[in-house]
Amino acid sequence: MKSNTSPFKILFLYPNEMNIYGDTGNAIVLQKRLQWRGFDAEIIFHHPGKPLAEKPDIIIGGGGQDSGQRKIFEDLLRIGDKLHDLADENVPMLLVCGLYQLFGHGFYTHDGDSMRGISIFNAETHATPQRLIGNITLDSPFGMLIGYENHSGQTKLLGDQQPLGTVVKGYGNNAEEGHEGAVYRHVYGTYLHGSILPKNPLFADALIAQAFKNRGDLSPLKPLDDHFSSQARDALLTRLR
Amino acid sequence: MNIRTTIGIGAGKITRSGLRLLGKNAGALPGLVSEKLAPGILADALGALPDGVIIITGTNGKTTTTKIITDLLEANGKRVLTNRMGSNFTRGVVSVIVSESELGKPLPHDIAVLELDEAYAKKFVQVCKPRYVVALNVMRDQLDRFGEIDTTARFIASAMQAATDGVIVNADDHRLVRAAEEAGLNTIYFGVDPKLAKHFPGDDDLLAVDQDNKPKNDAETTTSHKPLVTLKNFKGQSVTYAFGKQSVVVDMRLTGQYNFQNGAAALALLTTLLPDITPETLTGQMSHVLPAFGRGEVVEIDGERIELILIKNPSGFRLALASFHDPATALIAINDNDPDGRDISWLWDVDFTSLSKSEVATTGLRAYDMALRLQYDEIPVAWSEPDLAKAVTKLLQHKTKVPKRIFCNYTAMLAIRSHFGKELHEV
Repeated sequence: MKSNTSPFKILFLYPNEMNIYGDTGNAIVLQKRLQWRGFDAEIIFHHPGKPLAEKPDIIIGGGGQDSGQRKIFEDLLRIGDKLHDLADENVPMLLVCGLYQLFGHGFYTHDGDSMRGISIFNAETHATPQRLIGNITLDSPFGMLIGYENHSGQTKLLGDQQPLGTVVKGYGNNAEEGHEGAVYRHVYGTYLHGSILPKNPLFADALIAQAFKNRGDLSPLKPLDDHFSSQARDALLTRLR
Repeated sequence: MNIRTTIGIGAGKITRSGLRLLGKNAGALPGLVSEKLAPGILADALGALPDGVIIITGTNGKTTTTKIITDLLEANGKRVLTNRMGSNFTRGVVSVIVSESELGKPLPHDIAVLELDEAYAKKFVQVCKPRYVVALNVMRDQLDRFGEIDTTARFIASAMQAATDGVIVNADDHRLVRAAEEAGLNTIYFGVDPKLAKHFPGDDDLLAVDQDNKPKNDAETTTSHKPLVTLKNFKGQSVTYAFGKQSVVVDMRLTGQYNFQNGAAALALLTTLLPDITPETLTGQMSHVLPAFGRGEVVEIDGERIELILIKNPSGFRLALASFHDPATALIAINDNDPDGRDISWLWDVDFTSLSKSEVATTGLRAYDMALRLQYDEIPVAWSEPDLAKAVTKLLQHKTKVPKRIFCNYTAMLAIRSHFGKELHEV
């Protein structure tokens, strides 16, 4: 049995600009899965120009439109060093789509225009005329991940950068290589929305377990009722077959 | 009408009667056949209409606005060609022309009032120039098809630029206002009184998760536009519109604050098209307008009254939920076919906590995803049945004193209506 402590802080990066594909769902899922296990959890927001909150337990961020990405990328560079430190302290993070791209080296368009990223991932993203859209499934350390992708930026993993998983159906990082997302310590980048965490509770609990571990608590998580999640997964996997 | 158009319409008619013989509902297929045979059908047939073409586009409210405009024009003696069934793609429009025309003759109408999907509006105007474009709003909807809301706004901007006489624009939608200003178009605005603004959140308001730290939207910093028609106030279905300094109160049969805003759009267009008709006459005619197909209509199936509410996107769903305060037995039907949008992540942008006093069940291809969404808002799910017909039958058999409501997206609604075709009656 886990001991009760101060409230867990779920830090949601740029919720007003980078939240286009139901990314709020990830925040709700983390908060409820902590609360249902008897722990206080609060969602706190980071906005451009504001100081980064101290000691977040989990950091999440989503996708935005090009205009939203443009509004926040300079602020992200400003807090980049702090995010690097938190990543190296094993703080779990989940970055979807637009913020995943900016956690790499940057986003480059064909006319040479670019948005520099914070290089937590050894990866770079190039704008393409092709939009990769549709349901996607991948093999990952957290079982089969199921989601929906919708991006025209295509990401190349460089050097020995590890992906989050291997694509079973769909595209992933780019149209050619068959891998999806990126992992650095406990920082996960991915193109999956839908939102990703509701239908992938093993992944959600891995982030939560890491947050407990960082507080020195290694006891197992209490199981929750995930039968709707299982049914939703089964229904989609059957249709994709 | 040239010979190719005549051949095209003839072929479409044959397809249509063939489908009828087979007992199939003639939807867009006759249009597809005609369009292939005579690409000029739209331009030829619609170009000959004496009062031209009006396009209604935007994310929410197209069907109801189109219906209000059509009813008001008809009440004033115009013969109107319209795509009533919400078949808002070019082929749907061609299908309407095929069914309405007699071979070799011009269309027997004065004016066309067409609701067009944003992406199709852009394509449509390349073939046929509208007189006026009514631009209602830009909200997040079907992002898997359009990519991004800014892209959607650009589609509408292209359509607006093709208008020969002018555009009717929502003064409270900053993306549309900016598009009209940048293009230097003859713009007629409709709007809502600032004190009602909290009832009409724009997309950026809905997007802002952190409501205490909302970004200032551009509209707040630009000069305000004087709307030709303003929704001043509403109480129940008693609605006040201002035409300049003159205010008129109208008792509407339509419900829902968004339809009152759509009413302002329709009145702004009608006052422009028919300057001799008084605001009193127009609003009097508007009081008779009934809800469009699936837009808050009440139907009877086997003697059981059911409210059918079409929801297509997060803003529409939020508003639908906000317009009911009473406990109900609710069935939420979510499909993810192409016309619905394949991506259902938007369900996570809707707050379902207002259903806490209702009994809720889910159905459709995404029945379990919907149940999962409700679980995280801690709304108990009575049951989930992906099969739409079984689910609706279960709802019909359920004994209750509270209203029965089905919230459904587009293809779920079509499937329900088609399954219960004979037993289903409009009330």
